[in-house]
Amino acid sequence: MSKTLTLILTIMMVIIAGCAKRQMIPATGEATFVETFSPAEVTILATGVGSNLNEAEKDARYQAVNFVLLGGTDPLLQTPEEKTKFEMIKNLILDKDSVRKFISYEDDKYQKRVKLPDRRLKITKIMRVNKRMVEEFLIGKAVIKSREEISEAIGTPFVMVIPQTTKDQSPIDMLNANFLYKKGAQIIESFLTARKYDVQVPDQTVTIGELVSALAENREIKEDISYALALTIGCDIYITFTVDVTSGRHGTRKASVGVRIYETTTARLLGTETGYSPEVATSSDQVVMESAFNDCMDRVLSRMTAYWKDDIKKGMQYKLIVKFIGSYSRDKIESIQFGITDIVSSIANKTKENVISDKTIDLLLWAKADEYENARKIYSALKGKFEAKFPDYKMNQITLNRKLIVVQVKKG
Amino acid sequence: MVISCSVLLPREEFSRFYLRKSIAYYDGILLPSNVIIPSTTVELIKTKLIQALFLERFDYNYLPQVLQAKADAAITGMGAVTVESLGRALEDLFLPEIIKILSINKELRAKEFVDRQERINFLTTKAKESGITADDLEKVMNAGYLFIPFITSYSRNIQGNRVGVNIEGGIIWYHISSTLEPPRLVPLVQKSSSAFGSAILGKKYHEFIWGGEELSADEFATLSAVNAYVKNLQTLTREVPVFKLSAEIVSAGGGQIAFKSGNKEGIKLDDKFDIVEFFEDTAGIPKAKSIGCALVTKIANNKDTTKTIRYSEARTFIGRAEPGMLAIERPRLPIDLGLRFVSFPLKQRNDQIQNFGGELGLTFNVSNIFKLPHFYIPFSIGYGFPSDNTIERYYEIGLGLHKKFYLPRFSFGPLITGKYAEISNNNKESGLCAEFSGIVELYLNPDFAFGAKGGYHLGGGKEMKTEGLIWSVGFNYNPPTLPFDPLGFLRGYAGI
Repeated sequence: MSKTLTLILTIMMVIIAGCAKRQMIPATGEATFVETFSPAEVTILATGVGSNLNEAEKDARYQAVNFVLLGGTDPLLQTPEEKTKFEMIKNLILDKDSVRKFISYEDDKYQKRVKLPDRRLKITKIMRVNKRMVEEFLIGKAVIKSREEISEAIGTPFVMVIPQTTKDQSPIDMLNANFLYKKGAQIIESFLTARKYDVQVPDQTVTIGELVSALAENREIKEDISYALALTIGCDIYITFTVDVTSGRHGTRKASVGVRIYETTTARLLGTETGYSPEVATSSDQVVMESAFNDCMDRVLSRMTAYWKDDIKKGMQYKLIVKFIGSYSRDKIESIQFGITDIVSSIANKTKENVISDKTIDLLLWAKADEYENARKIYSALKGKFEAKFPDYKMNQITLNRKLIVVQVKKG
Repeated sequence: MVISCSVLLPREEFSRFYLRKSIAYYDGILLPSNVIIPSTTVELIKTKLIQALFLERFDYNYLPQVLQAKADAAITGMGAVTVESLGRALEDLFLPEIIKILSINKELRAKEFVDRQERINFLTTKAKESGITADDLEKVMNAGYLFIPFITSYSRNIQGNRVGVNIEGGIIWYHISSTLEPPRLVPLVQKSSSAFGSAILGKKYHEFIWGGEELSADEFATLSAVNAYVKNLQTLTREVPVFKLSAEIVSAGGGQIAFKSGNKEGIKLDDKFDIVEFFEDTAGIPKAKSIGCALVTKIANNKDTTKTIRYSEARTFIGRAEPGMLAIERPRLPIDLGLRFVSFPLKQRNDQIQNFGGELGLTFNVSNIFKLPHFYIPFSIGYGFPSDNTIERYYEIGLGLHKKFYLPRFSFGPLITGKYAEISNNNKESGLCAEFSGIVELYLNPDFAFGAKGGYHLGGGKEMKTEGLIWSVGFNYNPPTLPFDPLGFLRGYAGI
């Protein structure tokens, strides 16, 4: 009996020891961004794991497309709504066998190939994903909105591109004086126009009005000439950039560029990206600069699109400044202030008050894009409702552009 | 002069593809003070060594004669020579010039390192740039090596009517580390070899079997020893991990593999390549392991980029290859040594005589001469022990043609041999014979095979007939080095 018990115990110990030896090996596929090859394609370094080479390659392709869809800082699927919709069609796109159609190029060389301790195979190779094709597939399945839809809803975004300067420098002078900056602006323009954004690089004819300068001063960003320019032009978003080209080892050239995106009405920073070129044997600074822009522009534009998609829900954003001319009693000014904010609330989806004082009202409003397609209509509605509510007072426009509505109120 | 070595860096890591190296050398030979060697022999060793080490996988950085003379003077002035002190002595003399040559040629050489991925990126396609990055240039600048030959022993001896020459020595390889400031000569590896040659005194030889310069027995023995010595050093150099050709297997199927390497790197038919897979241990460290072996069957012409063949092909005879694995050169001499147990057919006056014996074989791989893969010229010497007491001995010498076909782990193929056979009894009798046979070999590892042969043997003399079935079993070994030049050894022994 004791022999049988000993035998059973020995067998059990062997089984337990065998189980304990087995380790969980955390080996799953992964992917990293390499470069934006063209406006339609991105190069991804993908790692796949599988029981054999075929399976590992399928996994690597899956990982590459999955990265474009959901990975990195700026995936195609950004909002929770998009992700929820995507879950329903996930198998159509991320099926390991059909995902291949989104791969426009697959290197025949492996960056890495290694057998894991559990006998699975892990491979790493360069792949190029046709991002535009994936995007069109998602648009076709109504998972994401097309740019045309977004544009129809809130108008085509209008973007200003200027170099980032110090407080003593004029971005326009810098553009004119430095060919590299001019070229940089052109490169960003080409990326933006390829995505159907309206772009403007300001020239000498743009003069910043005193009022706009004063507004900038009020916002305590008096040294930010870019903001003043953006408000003057009336763009939705403005982009500033820096360029730095240095000599590398063995006489090579290397560029790093910094790109910042701002919301015009508030000068709020929407995103910052830095791009680097490889150290290349070239005599052309423009070439390395363009390579550095290629490195980051896809992320910049994704960030911008994400902002734009977010804004679509709230409506079209405007900055409204109301100036009170003359003197008013405390009760009267408060009554007018309440009246104006009520009128604005009635015509806007959302408002955000920046400053309300005896002299001014400074607020942001998101107008219903289908009812108020431009600033003039908002002004017209505001004026009509205000003068109906306060017949003794007049409202007149001072400045009106795509983003900025500056009006004055005085006793009529 | 004493050559000692205290620090040599082990370099065992494998690159996924061979990065072309550039080579410079000290145009002299280090000799210990107690070794006396004829100046003609020194010149012969130098010339043959440079020929042997000027491999197509290398670019060469020629150093001016004036620098070589300065190096001679510096080395002569040294007392005890160590690998390190030698390196330090040559650093100041050679490195500025080598770095200058590397800098001038770096962009041209760096084009080699721009891989396909880089060839189709923005910089090359849209900006029409070369795509050469600082990393590529760094690789070129860091791919410089220098070798210094040395001899540790030389002897000439006469035994009977034979003269023998023995040479012992080697080469020291240094890596030119341009990442250090200032650049340094870092000892890489020291390879040593020894070889001998012999000849019949008084016989006149020629440099080659058919023609070439006329040589005395002394000169021929020296040439034979030097040939073996430099061939060994060539193989030993090819065995250094950083000099080994390596390439990724791009396709595999039907026992064939294709990989990106070709005549630009000096690949030859029937060159052996290990099939290497990386295995990750539980600590996550990948380790290379050979899981098979293949023989080159088609050489890519990658010197001419307009040619359509981009990949060399090889026949896998051990293991199974897959794309992504590595093909890493396994340098071996183009010769197999064989030792076999043989049953020789023998009839005397129509009496069948049992005749078992042994056979020593040298199988020369001549695939590159005939441009036909797996093609061999076997040379054999057989010795039999006939059961008939009246026959004192039986021996035969054979020379044939053999074609092999490879299957996993096996090779088979026909063999045609012409033989000279002789028996000694009261009267010596000899005759010419022919053998038609087939050989099957089982590879126990890439260099060692168990083989069996069966066939028909015919011919003989008036009384002696060697007609009948012949069979043998034995082993074949493909060595990396040999202490003698097989052909030179046979010629020296036979006086031809």
